[in-house]
Amino acid sequence: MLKETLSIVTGKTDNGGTPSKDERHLAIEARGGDEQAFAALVKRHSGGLHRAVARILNDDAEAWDVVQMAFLKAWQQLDRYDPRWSFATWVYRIGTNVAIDLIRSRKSRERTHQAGFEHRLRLVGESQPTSLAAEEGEVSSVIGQVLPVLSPQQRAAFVLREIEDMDTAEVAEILGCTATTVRNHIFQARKTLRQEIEKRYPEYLPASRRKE
Amino acid sequence: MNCQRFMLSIDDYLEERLDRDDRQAFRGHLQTCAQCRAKATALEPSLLLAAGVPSEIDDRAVSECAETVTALIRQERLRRRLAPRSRRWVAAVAAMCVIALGGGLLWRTAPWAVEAPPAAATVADSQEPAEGFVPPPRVEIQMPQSEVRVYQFAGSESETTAVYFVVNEEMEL
Repeated sequence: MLKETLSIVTGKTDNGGTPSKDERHLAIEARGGDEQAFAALVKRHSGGLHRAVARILNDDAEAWDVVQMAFLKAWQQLDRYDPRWSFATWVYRIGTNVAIDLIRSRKSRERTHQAGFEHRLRLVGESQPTSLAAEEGEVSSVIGQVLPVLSPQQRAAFVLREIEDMDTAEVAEILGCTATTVRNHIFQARKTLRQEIEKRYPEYLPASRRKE
Repeated sequence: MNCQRFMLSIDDYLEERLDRDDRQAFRGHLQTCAQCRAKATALEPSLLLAAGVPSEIDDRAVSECAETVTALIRQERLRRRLAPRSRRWVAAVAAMCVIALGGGLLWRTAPWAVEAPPAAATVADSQEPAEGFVPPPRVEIQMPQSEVRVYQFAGSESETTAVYFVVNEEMEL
């Protein structure tokens, strides 16, 4: 655990680890009531947080609402923020928790979120295969179709680690669990996603494994 | 990372054994080499989800988000500053009423009340504002950075209502 903590403190990514001097300065000023400093932090981190939350929720517009709510909560709780730690990790934690709560609360509604999902991923490469994956935005479509089968915690862990490419320790900090738990979430998520993709998108499997 | 090394690294990637640089190189190759991507996703379909290049961040949406959050914060600040003041004000008015009523009762039941000159009525009358008198507004809250002032009118006709104006054309509540 100490090693994980140290890795967070000495991290070098924009989204986590030790805050830069500038970020620490902004966070301290915001804690003193400076709205402009806080607005600068919002501008710096809202885009990335939105991208992650949009993936978790599978809803682009709703993700902006969550981002705004997360930053408002962060403002209200700034006295609890320790500037020695990354502001981004802290606000990602708030935003992810709001998103997870939202997924849990809307489970009964079983809404279709595909319509509002506007994030697109591009597949780049010199030669595009002729399969379904060749189409622009196909990855985004696959993500939108299969991610909802995961539990909220698995989904959040998978999105932050596999899609947003954050460090495992950072994801653990955001989700408030250990790195081992994050790895377990990723492992279980892969297992579930594999089954789901094989069922929905058999064209990704080798011909020998496709069910007739 | 070349194609051969990529294929040899798939298990290490899935088992989280790659260091950060190798992991970045692996993901970069997965995103850019269509042939290796097809082979890798055939082995492990969930790798498809790591194969996309994230979309660019929408700067306009980010600016709008910052403006919205700032507006929400100002609303929150005003609400917090006004709420305790109005509660204190109501409590003060209630206390004054209790004192006035208690004092009035004592005065009426006191032994000297019979001989007392009609001074009480005079005192009571003198405490009431003259007809048509409107107390000047007080600056309750001053926010120099945002040039916001909140004026509170504590009129005698409505003791529980605080009327405020926000002197900032750009701000809408």
